[in-house]
Parts: sequence; C-alpha cells; structure tokens
Amino acid sequence: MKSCSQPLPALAEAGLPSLAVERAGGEGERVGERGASAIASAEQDAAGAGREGGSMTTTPVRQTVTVTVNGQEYTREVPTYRTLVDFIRYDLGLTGTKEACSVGVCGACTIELDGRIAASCITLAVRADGANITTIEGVADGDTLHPVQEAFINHGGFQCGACTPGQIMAAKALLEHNSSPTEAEIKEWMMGNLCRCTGYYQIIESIQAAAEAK
Amino acid sequence: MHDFTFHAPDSLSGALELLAEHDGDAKLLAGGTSLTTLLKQSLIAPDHIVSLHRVPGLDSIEASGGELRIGGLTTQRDMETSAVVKEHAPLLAEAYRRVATVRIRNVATVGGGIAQADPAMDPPPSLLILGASVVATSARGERVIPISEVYADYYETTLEPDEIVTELRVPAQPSGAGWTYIKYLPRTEDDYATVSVAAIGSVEGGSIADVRVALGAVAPTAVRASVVEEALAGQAPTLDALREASQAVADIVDPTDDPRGSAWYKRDMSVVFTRRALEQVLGVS
Repeated sequence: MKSCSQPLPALAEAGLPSLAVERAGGEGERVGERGASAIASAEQDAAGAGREGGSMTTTPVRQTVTVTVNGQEYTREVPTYRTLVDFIRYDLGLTGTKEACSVGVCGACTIELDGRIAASCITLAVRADGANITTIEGVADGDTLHPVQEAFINHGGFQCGACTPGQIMAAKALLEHNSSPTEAEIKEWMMGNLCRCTGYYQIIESIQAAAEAK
Repeated sequence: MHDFTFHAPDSLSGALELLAEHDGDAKLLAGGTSLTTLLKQSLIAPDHIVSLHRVPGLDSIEASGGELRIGGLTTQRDMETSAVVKEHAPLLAEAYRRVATVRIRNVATVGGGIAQADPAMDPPPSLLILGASVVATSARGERVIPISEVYADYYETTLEPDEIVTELRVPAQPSGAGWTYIKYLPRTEDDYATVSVAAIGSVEGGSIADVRVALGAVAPTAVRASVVEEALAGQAPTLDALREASQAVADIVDPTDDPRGSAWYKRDMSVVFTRRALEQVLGVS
C-alpha cells in the first residue's frame, strides 16, 4: 500500500481538487478503478519498477497527442496505453463522458470522433491524435441546451444519469443522420446504449420529442 | 495494459516497412475495436503497434468486372450503407449491418474484421458463400487468398505477421437468387450470434439450381455446409428435402458452451436455422 498525493497536471489545470487516495491493488500497469491517483500511481509503479520478464520498459512509453475537443485544441503527453476515455476525463478534466463496461458494449463512453459516434473506452488516445472530438460538454450552445438535452429533461429520459451523456451523444447523432426516425429506427440505433434504470420508454419518447421539436 | 511504441505511418509502404522491421513484434491497428479490447485485457502485449488510420486510399468500394473491390480500411458502417454493396451484394450489406452497434461499425474495418477472425462475427458466413478473396500485401509482395483459406482457427488466420489486408474482393451476388442472413440472438440485439446462417438459393424448372449455405458462431471458424449443398443440388425444393438435408449440419458444426447457449443447443439450432434459411431462399413453406 502506498499513497499518492500527486495529481495529474491536467487536473490542476482544470481546477479539480488534488486527490490523496490510497490505492488498493498492486496492478502496476492497469488504469483500472478510476481516479487520477490510480493513474498517477500506476505510472509511478511502471516508471519505478518495470515488470520482471515482461515487455514493460522501465518508463512507460509516452507520446504526444493533440486533439480538438469541443472546438478547443489540447496537447498532452501520455502513455501510449492511455484510452481515449481516460484521456478525456483525466488528462483534459472533461468528466461528463462516463466509462462503465470498458469493452465497448454499454455506450456510456460514447463520443463523436471526426463526425461519427465511437466508443472512447476502446479507442487509444494516441489513435485519436489529430482528431476532432465532441463530448457531452460540447453539445449545448452556451447556456442553450441542445434539443435532445431539453427533450431528455422534459420527458424523463434519465433516472440516475450515468448513461445519459452517452445516450445524448448517440441520440444527437441519430437525428443528424435521420431527422424523423421511426420507433423501430430509434430502437435499432440506440440498442448499444444501455440504461440500468430501465428507462428505455422515456428515452424513446425523448428522442421522438427532440425530432418533433427540430 | 502494457505500454508499446505507437506508430502512425502515413503511407502503405511506410506501414509495410514498420511491420518488416519489427518482424513478429508489431500488431496492426485499424479501427481498434477488437485490438484495444485485447490489449486492455492483457491478452496480447506487443512492443509495437502500427496504426493504419493515416494510411490513405484503402477505403474505397468499387464494382468492376462482376466483382466488388473493397479497400481493407473501409469501415463496416460504410459496407452497410454503401449503395454499391447493396446493389451488387445485398447479403453482404445486411451481414455488416448486423455487426454489434453503429458506434462499433463506425470505426471497425473490413480488413480488421477479417484479420481478427472471430468465428462469431457476422460477415464470415456471407463471405464464404459469396466466394470472397482477400488481397494480403507485405513488403515481399502481394497474394490473393480465398477467404475459405484465410480462416484457420479461433482468432487465427493464415495471414503472415508482416501482411496487411489491403483489399476484399467479392463476386457479385447472383441477381434473382434468394438470399438471407439469419442471426439467432436469444439475448440482446447487439450481441454476438448464438448461431448465424447465410444462404443463397435459386430454383429453375422445378429443381434447385444454386444453393449455398454457411454458418457462423458454431465452430472454430465459419463453416460452409457443402454437405447440405451437395445433397440438395438438382432436387425438387420440398420441405422434406430441406429438413432431411439440414440434419447433416449437426455433424459439421463444433460449438462450445458459453453464455449464448450450450454446445448441444447450438448444434440443434444450427440444424433448425439452416432449414429456415433454406426455406426462405428457395421459397419453400
């Protein structure tokens, strides 16, 4: 057990509080249970100890990633194994994008990558170098919510809210592709966005309302 | 996850040189939906990853001389929505439409899916019965491999580590023939199939003229049911004939138990869905 009180620089830049959390496991390379401290200490482990008999080098290979997110350009140097969702959340401090299943199935981490929705949990940050990304933080126009956001509020399209950023990103992409989808088309498009509160009917109603409002 | 050196060459020749240079120690990344998952689970730990996202010119879909020529970096979403694919091989457009979710199809590529060789993926049975072939390019040259010789085992192909799938060639589907892709899903719509069946068939002068059928998710690779095709060729298309011929599928599949069904259940369902696919494509009811 050891503690880590060093926040990632990006968190300080983003004005997020410094964290001093004890990390439970000894999984050096795993950016697993979230929190900047877990990532930072994982990198320290990797930098300090390396891995006996493995291919891990003594210092994790870091490469520079430049992306445009919600119209703003960011450049960060990150380990090559950094996933895009971790990059967005911890390196850029944009925590609206969520991670749940971590294997591309649940849709919580849905973002728009060069004009198409993608799963940021199974995209490497280095793969997104040069990309144009939109996250949930970039959906509203200033203080004016996007019609899909308005509709989710007005029609009860969420309960706990954990899946909502991904639902909004997917629904927004659907309406940009098909401005008046049928219920069957909504179900087909949205089937990859899971809601554990089972609010699916309200989600469908919200998307129908957003389509009508447009 | 292990770390690695990430390469993003901006030309095919650059990518081929990197593969040759890091012989056997580099993995290719196209859309990354499969490879990143394997990396995250530490099932693979390459020292080098060669990403193809900056390699231009490998994402076109063209029809010429009775076949489709599809660039290896074409996304699966583009296969689903392409008017050219829908016109010349609607079965293929439908098979790609059924892959996972739009979020995955938006980035997953045709070449990446072929190289991943997951037997539960949706396109392989259709690629088998359409007689597709794969162009594999390396610094040593280029070879064209029938798709049936590409798939070797679970997640294994006959592609060499220094080869890139640069093109998929698919003969046009016979116009006028019936076709179907059945994806049997007892759980959720976006899941891998429990059993999948692709079939093409036509009847001329009261007898079966052309019949092709292949199955996915029930063996180490997608399997073509040649034994069924041979039994039915020239026969009158009756329900009894289809029922009897479909039984032979039980002997050619080799399914495993998993959360999508037990092995015996998948074997039974292989027979059932083969018969239903044949009924559809041959117009038997």
